[in-house]
Amino acid sequence: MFSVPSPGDPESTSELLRRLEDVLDHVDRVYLGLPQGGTGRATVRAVDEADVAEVAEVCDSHGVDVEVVINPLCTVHITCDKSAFRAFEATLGALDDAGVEHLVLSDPMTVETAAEMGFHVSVSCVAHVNEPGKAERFAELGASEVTVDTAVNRRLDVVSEIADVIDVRVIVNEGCLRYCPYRLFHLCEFSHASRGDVTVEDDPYFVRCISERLDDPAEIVRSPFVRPEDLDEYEGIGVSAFKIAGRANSVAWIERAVRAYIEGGYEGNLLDVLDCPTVLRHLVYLDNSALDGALREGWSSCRGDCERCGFCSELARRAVRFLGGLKDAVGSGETGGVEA
Amino acid sequence: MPLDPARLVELRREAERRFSETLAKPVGVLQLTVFAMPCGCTGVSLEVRNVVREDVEVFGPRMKGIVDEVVREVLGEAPDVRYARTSPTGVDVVSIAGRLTCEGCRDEIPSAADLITF
Repeated sequence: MFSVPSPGDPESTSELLRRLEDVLDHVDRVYLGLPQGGTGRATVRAVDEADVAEVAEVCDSHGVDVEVVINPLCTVHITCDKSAFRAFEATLGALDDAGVEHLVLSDPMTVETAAEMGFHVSVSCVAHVNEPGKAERFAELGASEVTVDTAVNRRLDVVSEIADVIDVRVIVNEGCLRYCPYRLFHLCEFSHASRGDVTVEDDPYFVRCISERLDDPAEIVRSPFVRPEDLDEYEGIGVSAFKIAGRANSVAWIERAVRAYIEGGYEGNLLDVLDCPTVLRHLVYLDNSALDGALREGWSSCRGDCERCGFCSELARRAVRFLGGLKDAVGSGETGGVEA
Repeated sequence: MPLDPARLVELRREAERRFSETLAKPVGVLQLTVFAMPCGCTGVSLEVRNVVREDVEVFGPRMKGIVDEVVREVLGEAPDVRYARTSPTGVDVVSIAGRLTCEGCRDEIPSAADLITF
């Protein structure tokens, strides 16, 4: 089953579910960020508890559950102050009153409290659960499910071991850099920016994110996204919950991504359905068909020794093409450098 | 004469190609923006990726020609100031711009901490 992102407001959610009506039997949850607690992503709408109640009603009318995401990396404003934690508990109470049963939380203290209140808690990928032992700790705190660290998405052996401990959900279309040194700090930036407690004038991590991929297109292939065609590999190891990333995008974008994964295939530029960063699709074409077999042939046995391995570099030469002025500069349209 | 949207799209693409060739690496131009400011300055800004401070310091004179041509075509005359704006660390270049400055800004831009003029 699929978890589908909502931009957060009732109108967009209603529009999205109306568009997806014919495939909703594959969707069990629609999630949205509640920025007042801070979230791990940019939020496009200032959603409050009243909005959540309306979204819950919209979801209920379409037969799907709503899932509220409170997953900041920095939680000092929630867990390190008694009155702040009381406010958090009051928020959970309000969500309960609104009919919300599913939460995505990052901080273990919040997981424990929400689980005790009876919520179904999925541990956020922001908690970076990437081994069975860590999953076990969250299970002991009352978590019902773990959304695994996307860095281990393609390590089928690791995902399988975690799935032996607790229900696992995999974020399929996050296109972040593999081994990204900026990830934690970017998530921390979002924690504060989404709450509005700091003014963020620049997003230097986002600048690097695009720049490093243009500099080495193999980074686009190394990114731990899961292709729509590969979902059956995960079902084979006991994973049946898949999360579509992209709550900061338009309804049309979300619909395209959701359909690709529900249909189990996408013809064309795979970057069209990958989140983070979506703008890359206008600069680069990632030929999805050229990635056939890559999960089994290379990615699932990846140990991160890119220098010696060369699998993704070779794959990128076949699968990645520059567009626009980059294509003009390279000449042939293939990647691999620009002549001086 | 209104600006031709198709020509603007082409200019972005040309800038992307020429920056990539000049710096001998893929340079993305995410957006070409024509701007007018309350002080009276006007100009064109190009949001770029995969450009660092050192690129501007070394290749600034060659990048100047690209910026001048874009601004001249859009605004009818060459800019009197060209600059790159960096991210807070001062390493990554976020945008490259050419500006027809108002009197007040002409002397201020070269001394701005987050700008590299070229």
